[in-house]
Amino acid sequence: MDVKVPDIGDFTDVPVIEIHVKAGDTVNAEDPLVTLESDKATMDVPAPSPGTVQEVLVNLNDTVSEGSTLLTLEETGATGDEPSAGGAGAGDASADPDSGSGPEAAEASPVAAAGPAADDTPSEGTDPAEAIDLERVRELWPSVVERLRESGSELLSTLLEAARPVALDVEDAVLKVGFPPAAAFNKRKAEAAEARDRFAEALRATVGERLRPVFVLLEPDDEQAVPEAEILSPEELIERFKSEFDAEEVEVSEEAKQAEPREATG
Amino acid sequence: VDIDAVETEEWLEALDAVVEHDGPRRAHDLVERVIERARMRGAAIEHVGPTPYVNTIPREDEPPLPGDPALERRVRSLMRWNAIAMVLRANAESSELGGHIASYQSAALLYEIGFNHFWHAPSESHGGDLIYIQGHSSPGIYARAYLEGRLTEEQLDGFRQEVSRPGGLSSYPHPWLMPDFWQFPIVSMGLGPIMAIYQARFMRYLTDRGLLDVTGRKVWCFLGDGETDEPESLGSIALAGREELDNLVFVVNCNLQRLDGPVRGNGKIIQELETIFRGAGWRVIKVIWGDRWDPLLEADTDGLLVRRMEEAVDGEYQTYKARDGAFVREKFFGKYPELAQRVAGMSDEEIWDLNRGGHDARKVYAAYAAAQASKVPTVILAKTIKGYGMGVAGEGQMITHQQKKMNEEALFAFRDRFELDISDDDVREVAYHRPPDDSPEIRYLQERRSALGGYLPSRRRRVEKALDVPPLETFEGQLEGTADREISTTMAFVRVLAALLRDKEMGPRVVPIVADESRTFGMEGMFRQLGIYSHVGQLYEPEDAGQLMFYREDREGQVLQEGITEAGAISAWIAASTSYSNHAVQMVPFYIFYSMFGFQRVGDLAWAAGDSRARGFLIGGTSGRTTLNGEGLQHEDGHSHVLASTVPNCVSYDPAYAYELAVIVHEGLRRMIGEQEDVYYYLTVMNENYRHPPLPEGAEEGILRGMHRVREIEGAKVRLLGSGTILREVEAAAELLASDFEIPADVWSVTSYTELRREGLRHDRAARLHPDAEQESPWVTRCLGDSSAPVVAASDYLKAQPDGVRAWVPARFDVLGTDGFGRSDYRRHLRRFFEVDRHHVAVAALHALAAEGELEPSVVADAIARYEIDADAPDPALS
Repeated sequence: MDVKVPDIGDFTDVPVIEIHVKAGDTVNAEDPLVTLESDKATMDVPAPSPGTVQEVLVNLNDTVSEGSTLLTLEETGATGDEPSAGGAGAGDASADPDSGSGPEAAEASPVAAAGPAADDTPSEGTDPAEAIDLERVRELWPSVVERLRESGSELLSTLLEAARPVALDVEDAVLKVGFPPAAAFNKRKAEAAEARDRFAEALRATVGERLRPVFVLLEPDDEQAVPEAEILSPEELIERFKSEFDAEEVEVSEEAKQAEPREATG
Repeated sequence: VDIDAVETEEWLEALDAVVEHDGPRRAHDLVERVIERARMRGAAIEHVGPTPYVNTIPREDEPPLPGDPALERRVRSLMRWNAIAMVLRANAESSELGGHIASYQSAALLYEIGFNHFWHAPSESHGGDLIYIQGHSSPGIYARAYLEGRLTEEQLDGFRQEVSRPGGLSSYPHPWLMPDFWQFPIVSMGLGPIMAIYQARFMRYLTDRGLLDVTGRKVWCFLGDGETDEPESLGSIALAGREELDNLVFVVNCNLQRLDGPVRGNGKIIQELETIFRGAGWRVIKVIWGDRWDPLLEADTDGLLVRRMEEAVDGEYQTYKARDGAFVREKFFGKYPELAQRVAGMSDEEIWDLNRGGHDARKVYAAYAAAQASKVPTVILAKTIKGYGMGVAGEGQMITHQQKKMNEEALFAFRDRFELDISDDDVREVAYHRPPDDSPEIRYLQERRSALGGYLPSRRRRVEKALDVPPLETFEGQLEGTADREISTTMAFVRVLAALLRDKEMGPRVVPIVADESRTFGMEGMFRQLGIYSHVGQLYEPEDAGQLMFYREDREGQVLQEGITEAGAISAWIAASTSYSNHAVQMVPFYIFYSMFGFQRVGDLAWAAGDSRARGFLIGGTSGRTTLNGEGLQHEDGHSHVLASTVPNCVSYDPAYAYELAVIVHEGLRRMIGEQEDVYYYLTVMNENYRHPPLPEGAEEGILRGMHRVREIEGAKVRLLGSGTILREVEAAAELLASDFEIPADVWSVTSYTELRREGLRHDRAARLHPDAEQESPWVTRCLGDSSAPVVAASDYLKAQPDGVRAWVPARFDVLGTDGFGRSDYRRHLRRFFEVDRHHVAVAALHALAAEGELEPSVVADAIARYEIDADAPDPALS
């Protein structure tokens, strides 16, 4: 994936004053990649997800602005779904289900991380695996969110309202959950180990299948790449519009926020 | 006006029935519900004021007193006696030394219940409680240490005589003076409470960040009722309530008196404090009446006694205890014949013996036990008698606070009252009294402390294994210069901090602290990277969630964002910078603030930090009278370095370049963290952007000692000294002198006049006291001693700074500075106004040369004209 300069507020044309990585380096989510400097502040641009740096596209003292591409990163754990990754053979081995869950996970050997998970899947998944597909998971998505809310994880359920399942790898039992581009905050919060566990549990209880969630941030391109094999139900459509407006239209999201608690408490 | 007395009576009867059948708690709940409903229906019921003027804990809820109360009383009496003896003996010759008897006598039980039953010393099984002992009670704490065998009689005789008596005891708790004993310097009123609050919060921070498990440890802070009038005392209690700091207990010794007179002669301090603390979310436990009042209160079915208790004001309560039983009968009970009737069967002596809660072991124990179990911060308001037991020598009298005399008669009365086994001769001599080690008293005392893990207070001087300090190269980015990039030293500082945060060992120990203003200092990048500490995490999505540097609060956040409270922020810094001692966890705190609101605003806490042996960095941001140019008089700091120089163990610098800053921070880490030296650092950083050269080879020593040469010219006719941003004006002045007057000038960067001066003073002292020994010249002399060319200094601070090294400058020395009130304008105008710009520096240099006969005076006049300096401009020092 291309790592770009995120929203850095009012600043444009700021120099790159430090580059912390080089091609071939592996990074964890939130590791600093480069440091930018405005006339008042310096800011580290962090890795959006764990992966391997493919190419650094800026030099020291280059000036950049929001949207400038800094480097390309081969994401760990999302390789299979990333067209740009070209499905290199490394894809399977690096399909680390714990992507983004912190340094420990990323530092652990990919083989070790994949091992127990691979054991899990066949033992209880062979039959039901046929029963679930992406469409089914999408149908059940509101229930998953609702279950989280009912079990006391209100914040998490709110965070996940912005998200939706975008891909399901039945063989590896990996569910890819996409957040709209502006919901990076929600994604990061959902990625916390504890939140991830609770989510996985709600998923298992609702779908009846132990799926390992992988959270990704959708780029506009990705959204087009979302499979549209199934026709969305009106509810899903609304849900999707909501989440997209949530990202772009502040007014709508405010209304939505205000409306929901009333329903919930009424 | 009661419009329907019958209806009122029915309601009240219904309530009585509830109390009778279901108990007072049920009645409480019902009334709460009724009030809630009334509000819902539109009745504007205002806040519920104080609870009745009786104990918060009902008698039936008091737990039984553990241990051996009778023996504890005997031990306590020994403390009382020895505390009095210390003060009397110290003042036997004259009253010059001073000391306080009455405070401890009023608080003895409050301390002893804690020492015997609650307060853990650090041990294998417990990290230790932290006790903020009220300064004026120190004689009692020394008396206890004496009975424990930790202090000798010789040491007690050295009370308030630390100079002439080796091992002498400090007047009040001072870690600087007794580094193995006292932990917290809190005699300056109000500092104890605010430091205790931030200590409790810092302990939770340590736990939430996974650095240290502090479960079960509590902070107990003692304060006086009069002390609560200091803004620092109550100013931060809302933080404790908001954060539900269940590890914090305040004990307010409400003896109703301060030095001059009653705390609230016309009111009731306990009731006032109750409402304030309740409003701030604290559990309030009032301990007003002792157990001898219990039968009277139980018989008070019509509430007349409580009504009388609430009518009487503190000024009256004080007087009652300065007189006798007959007086109390007449003035207190006698107001209502029915009340007088109720005590008719009691003798005057029995009435006199009606005790106050703070002197009743069972009541105090019950309060402490409740505090120990509380889920929110707790304040215990204990009503006591100032000078308890001093009898006619001071009990409850106006002059009690300062009383340091008791005559023989009073001493005999005291001995008899507390049933002390002390001979008449010993009473006359005011001899210390310590029963043998195998006496029941001493054995009990030792057993109790042993059960609680050891002695308190006791201070840890250093951690066993110091953190490794990363090498100077860690700050490479600042050492190699910025080439064409223009940055401020504030930005350089943030980069230094960022580099340190990346260090595997030291990074997690860094505690960035701000009192708001992070964005002013360009530190908002740390919000996201490090997170802002919040015990509850972040319950909302921040408005800027989509941005790189969004406002991220996190339970494991590293940044302490204290909001707009410099007193609070520096208290947090003190907790972090003494963590090595109180928690055996070395932290590396950096508190960055508007330099004007540092030493000037919270100078007493900065002084206490020195006493505390704090180790950490204070960073004065937006410093320099002309460098922070738009903010005007109240913000533009030209004197914090003068104030910082007053703290003996504060090492201060005013660096100009990023490499200087990096070298200084590294040295600070080496000394404070690596070598565990008890100093702290004050650095000023600025917000003016300019290019930074690389570290000149071999410059480190000069940077650290206070000055180094940044421009060296063969045959320099004048030497120019500059500091901070003004160094750049000075460098420009050297160029002007060369281009306009062909005068070669050396330029020195003076990083610290304070360090240069301190070294000069050390040198002079050594030379004076060791006239036969050869002394190495101080650094400033060594730097400037190879020539007699005049020296001109300019900085963004008071002229007093460079003036401080005048004695060691072996040449004519002219000084420019920013004395006067600041104001707003462009930097170049302000520097012209304060006469520290390049032109004024050049003119000052020419003037010095003319005065030395090196130039014609007309040259100076020419320069003044050439640089368009208004020679008749008002003096900035007072305009």
